[in-house]
Amino acid sequence: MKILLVEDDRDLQNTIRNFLVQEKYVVECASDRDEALDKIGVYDYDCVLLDIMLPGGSGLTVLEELKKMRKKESVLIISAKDSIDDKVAGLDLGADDYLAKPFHLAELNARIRSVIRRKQAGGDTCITIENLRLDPDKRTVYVDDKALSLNRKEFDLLYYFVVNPDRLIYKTALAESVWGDNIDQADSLDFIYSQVKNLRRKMKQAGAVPQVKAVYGFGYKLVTEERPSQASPEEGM
Amino acid sequence: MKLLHYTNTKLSTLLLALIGVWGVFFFFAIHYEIRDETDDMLRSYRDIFIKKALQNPALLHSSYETTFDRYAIRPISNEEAAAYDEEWLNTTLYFPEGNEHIPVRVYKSIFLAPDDHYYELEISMSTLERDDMVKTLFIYLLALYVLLLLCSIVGNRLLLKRSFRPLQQLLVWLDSIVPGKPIPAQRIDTSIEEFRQLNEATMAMSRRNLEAYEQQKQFIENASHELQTPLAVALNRLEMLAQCEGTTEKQLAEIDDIYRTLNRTVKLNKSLLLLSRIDNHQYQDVAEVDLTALVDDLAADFEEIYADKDVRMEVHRQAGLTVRMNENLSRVLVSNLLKNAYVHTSPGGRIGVTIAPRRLVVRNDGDRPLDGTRIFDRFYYSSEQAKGSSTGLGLAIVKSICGLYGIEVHYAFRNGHEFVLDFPEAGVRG
Repeated sequence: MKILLVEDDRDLQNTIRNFLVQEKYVVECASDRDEALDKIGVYDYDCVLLDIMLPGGSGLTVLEELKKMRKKESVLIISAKDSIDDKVAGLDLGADDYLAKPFHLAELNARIRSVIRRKQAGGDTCITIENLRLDPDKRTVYVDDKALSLNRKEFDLLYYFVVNPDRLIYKTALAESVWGDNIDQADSLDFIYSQVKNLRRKMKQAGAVPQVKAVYGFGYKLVTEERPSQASPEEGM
Repeated sequence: MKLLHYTNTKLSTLLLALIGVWGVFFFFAIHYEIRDETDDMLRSYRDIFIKKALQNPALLHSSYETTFDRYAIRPISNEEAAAYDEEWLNTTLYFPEGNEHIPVRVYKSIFLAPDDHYYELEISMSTLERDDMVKTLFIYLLALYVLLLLCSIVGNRLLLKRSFRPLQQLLVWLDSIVPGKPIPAQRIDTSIEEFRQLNEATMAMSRRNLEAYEQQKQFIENASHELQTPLAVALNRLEMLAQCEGTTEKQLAEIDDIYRTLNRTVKLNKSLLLLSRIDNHQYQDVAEVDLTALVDDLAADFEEIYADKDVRMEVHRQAGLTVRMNENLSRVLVSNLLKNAYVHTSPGGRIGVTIAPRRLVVRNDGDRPLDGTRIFDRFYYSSEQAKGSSTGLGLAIVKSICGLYGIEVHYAFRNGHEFVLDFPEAGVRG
């Protein structure tokens, strides 16, 4: 997967690039509008992460240019200008999603996965980890071809985990992704605990190999390897 | 006190005093003049009489009496004459004809007759007419005084009102200025130099105010925007740090703390941005929003989020409520109200949402009323402990959104906190 990151702030550019490289993406960067225009003119990408406020002009013109060239790139706008006008303009121009700064990297990853998935029309968009298979379009989950019934929130939680496997996910990031902006009181994050507990119980009962592990009250992690935990004998797998 | 009444009262008081003093002075002057006139007449009577008496000594032994005037002559000794002083008297005389006492002026003087004897001449003259005249004069003066006073009060009032009209218009105009809205046209026509200067000065001041207001709004928005990127960098770096292999529990706890603080900053920044955007009218697109459905939707979320708080939430639907407003803002509006209710309800408490025609009431348990005048202020915290967990902007945002759509929002305490939203007629189809 090849991604073009258009972001003028060097610090943020580096952070995001390092993260995406960790996630096994091939990343190229552009720091201003002209550089971005040059790159999209020459190369093809699977996804373009586009900042709106760029030196040299608005990122929206890059988007327009992309559409003019009839290129198939998925475009995810990342903007500090979380204004509705920009969001609407961006989506009208054909952007696939809009993410306001500041965001969690795990969230960025989930969004990138979503926009790329949506472009793969006709193909198999299911995400498979060991014996767990999740179909984001039909919102169904299978463990060893047996359907696992989850409610809406549990599915959203699991989706977030499977697109960020082996990654420590901070509880606030998880809560914000699933419950939206209604979460903002740091003292009330205990509810995630019970939600995740339900999800873990259902996954364990269905015999899923990947499991959600709590990490010191900091967050959660979806782990697939059984070796470090030494906790699997009773599962008989 | 109104300037008009103030000025008029002061002017009238001054006039009252001045005319009063003048009137009293005038009255006594006239009074003196009249008496002086009487005395002159008495003196000339005396001269005429003495002249006649010298020519005709028979008169020395007569006295004369008419209805109102009379004289009497009395011989006096030389010793008495040597010590004699002329005398003027005001007294009354009994007139049997009218059976009444009449005021008279009496002049007593002496003269030396040709027979070398001194005689005292006493002339009395009725002052009845004079007193009548003084009385009439007094009444006229008093009437004139009152009339003049009334005229001056009414006249002053009319004149002052006319003079102050530009000031009145300026006040009305000043009242019509709303911060952040374009300055209304100033149509005040005056030839008074000071008022014209005042008009120009207030106009210039309003323009400067508007400019400063716009700049401030823009500044908040820009500052919030500028903060987003560094905040993103910090947040993402921290996320990367947490991912590192071999991070200990203690380090993660530290990172958790930093995260929490950073998240609070992010929320605060977002709320500020939202506020300035609402104030800058950046939410233009509107749609029909079904508030009943929205409340149900958000209530379900909040029930999950605050499940461990064991708060009972009841929604009373008395009618449907559809409002024409921006969809995002409607969501922010309702969720801020609900969030506020959840955060400030103690465990085991109750929250009630009532949806009535053109009215939404969010009620939660509480034991003492809050300061209704400040509760919607930015960064107002009801208590110290509330400071840690809230941005202090939630209700300010509610107020701003309501202001944008002409929704009346108020707080009341009726055995619990009540936030009542009254929606305007035009924007609602219930």
